[in-house]
Amino acid sequence: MSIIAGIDVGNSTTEVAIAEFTPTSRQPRFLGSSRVSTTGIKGTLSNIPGIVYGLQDAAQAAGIEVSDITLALLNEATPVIGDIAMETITETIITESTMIGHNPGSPGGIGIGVGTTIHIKDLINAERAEKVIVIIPKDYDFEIAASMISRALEFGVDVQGGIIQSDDGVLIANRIPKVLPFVDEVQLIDHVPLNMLAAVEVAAKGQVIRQLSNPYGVATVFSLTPEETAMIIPISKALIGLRSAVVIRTPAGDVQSRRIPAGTLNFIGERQTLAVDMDGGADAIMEGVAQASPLSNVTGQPGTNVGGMIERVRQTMSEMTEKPIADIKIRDILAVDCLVPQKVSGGLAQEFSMENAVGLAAMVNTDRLLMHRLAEALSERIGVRVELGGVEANMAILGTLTTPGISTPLAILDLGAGSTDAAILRGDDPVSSMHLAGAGNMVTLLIQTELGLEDFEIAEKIKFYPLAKVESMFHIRNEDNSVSFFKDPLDPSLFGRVALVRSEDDLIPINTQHSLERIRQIRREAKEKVFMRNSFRALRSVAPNGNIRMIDFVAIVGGSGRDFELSQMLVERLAGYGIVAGTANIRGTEGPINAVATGLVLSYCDRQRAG
Amino acid sequence: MTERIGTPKNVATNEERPAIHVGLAAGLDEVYFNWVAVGAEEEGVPCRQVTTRSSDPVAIAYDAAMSSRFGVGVAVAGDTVVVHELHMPPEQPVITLAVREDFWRYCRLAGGNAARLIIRLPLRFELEEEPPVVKPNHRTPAEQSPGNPSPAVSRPGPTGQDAEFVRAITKIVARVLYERGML
Repeated sequence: MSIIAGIDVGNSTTEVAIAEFTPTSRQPRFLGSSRVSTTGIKGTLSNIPGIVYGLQDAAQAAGIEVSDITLALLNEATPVIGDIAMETITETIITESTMIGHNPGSPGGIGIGVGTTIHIKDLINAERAEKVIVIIPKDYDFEIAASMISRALEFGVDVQGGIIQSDDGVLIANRIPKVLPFVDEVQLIDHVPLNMLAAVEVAAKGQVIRQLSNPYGVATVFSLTPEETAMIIPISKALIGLRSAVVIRTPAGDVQSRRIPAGTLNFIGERQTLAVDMDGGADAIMEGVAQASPLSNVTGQPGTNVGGMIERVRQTMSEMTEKPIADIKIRDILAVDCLVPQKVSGGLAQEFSMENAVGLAAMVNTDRLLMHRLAEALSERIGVRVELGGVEANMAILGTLTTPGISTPLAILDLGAGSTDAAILRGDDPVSSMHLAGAGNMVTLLIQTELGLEDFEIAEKIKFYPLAKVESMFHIRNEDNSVSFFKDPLDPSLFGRVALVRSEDDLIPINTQHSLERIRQIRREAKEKVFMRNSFRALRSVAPNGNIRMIDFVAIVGGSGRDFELSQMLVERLAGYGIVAGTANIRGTEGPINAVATGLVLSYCDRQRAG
Repeated sequence: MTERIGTPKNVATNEERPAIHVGLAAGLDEVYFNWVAVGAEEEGVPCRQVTTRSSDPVAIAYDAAMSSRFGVGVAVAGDTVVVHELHMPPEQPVITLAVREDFWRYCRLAGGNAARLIIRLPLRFELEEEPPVVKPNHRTPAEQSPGNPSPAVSRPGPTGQDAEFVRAITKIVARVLYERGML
């Protein structure tokens, strides 16, 4: 009797399956399995701590010691590793502060006011009928500020509105005899230029500003020439959808929407080479990939954003794999369009403007020698014989076939963290497989950048858990509109927030202004953009004659197969092609994970029985 | 202090009108009510002062919440400001703010939070800009022993410099891990 361990080192997780095998028995008996984070880049020696940890975990589950293992089988590793990058292709720069567009919780008053900016302390010197916008720093209490403005109004000064540093907009607006717009919570009020023409707009509740978010509206307010109107388009664009805004005209004021030279990508295919402009967006890039494939390498135009991006990918890969940079060849690229909130340089209230960006996932071939080196080092470390167990795609299929109710011909979709893989087994044909750049990590990156989150970790959680809005101290409304009640009051810090439902009574608040609907939309779109596109690309490339309709059965495996909505999204879409798709359940117990590790053990046992 | 006195514009005089109920401990000047009301005014919710007999801020706040048609009450007593809601257990208020100085700011904050409970916006636990005047409290309100409400603002997770430091390190580690593709 021997004890066999199958080890699958992936981009994100390392999976282990341990089984007991006697040559006389028909099948190995699985004792335990585990799934831990991969340490280091897949295929490097830094994987060993993760593997050892995974082995210990699985051995514990099996009730044995790691030293009891007779033989450990390492996957021959898909010779691919992925990396992701994101780069904006437009940028808004305000060289002179000219705009405050923001959404304080409670601006005061309503309407639009136009006048020259004046400090509240100088209000007393203002002329009769002079149109002014009052600047109110936070050392002026709302009561005092309101009475000063009221007095000025009585005197005949035409106060048109105000810009307030503290959160007093409503309070001041309520205490003056006229309805005027006040924008509050402007932190950098010292930077607001005085004696300049300015416009303040506050929309009614539930409305958005109309005048200042319209370039011709701004032109009307400031009597701009057509040339000047063209220049303020980025301002208006950045103010779209806000409830309040201020635009100040400074003589030297200059706003530009700079189009960063995004550069071109060169696809060097085995049959042809072509260049694609990044400006064309993700669709144009993916078309280029499809035309040039199979790819032997990808380069970016030097001195441009994409050039730097591709170079960075290559640099990281070169460092991780210890191969010279010239030997790093990019074998696949996935491009995704997205909108990224970017802080406007030169803004006053930390304004954001939505800029176009392209996210790229790239995949690089690694060296098979690396896996041999890893196997040797691992053997030394754990004192157990380690062998390379076979091609990963074959192993994945073997493992998947342990799913109850599954049979050949079968295609699998392996949705991982770093790559999306497909493999197909039909009759006696050899398994054909495809590895594509872009998977779970790319989805997380998209969520993180589109929501403007600082933290990759929280984006990862948004990807994984459904959303809810905390509506009272005792109940939440889930994203499907159902309501969950709680026996004990919730933490007050959760109140009114959008939260992730990790389990029934474990809520994680998301610290963001975005609404539940927006977060949900971004989350689903990110999955759509990455996994839908890649799944179809992968299946098409393994399908007979490239025709996806020739595939009958698809089983979804891999870490991202556990996603609460992704496999359903896929099943729905694939059904349109007459394909029966579903999430695999490896060995009837593991769900969509552990396919390769299980396959490694099964394939070894088959070989033993065969002789 | 007197220069901070504000006259709220959102005091409900009609008994029928739903409002946040504010109770002051015996002997407190009416100006405390004004500060609370001004906080609620910024969010657009009316307030009404109610008479109280108790001196326990939590009990005052609970009584105020029970009598309010919105089910939200605020109490000011001694050096604490309490916000309560009628569905909560009587001894467990939504927020308890311990006041050291600038009493008016805490009253405004409490008034704002009471209003936010009604308009369903996230609550604010700290004064803006200035460092929060709260005692460290690692417990969640659910764990607080009945009858002994914590005098500090309830906040999730650890507070203080150490936590800040650990967070910073965690962030760096997470970034490095991410850059290497391990996350």
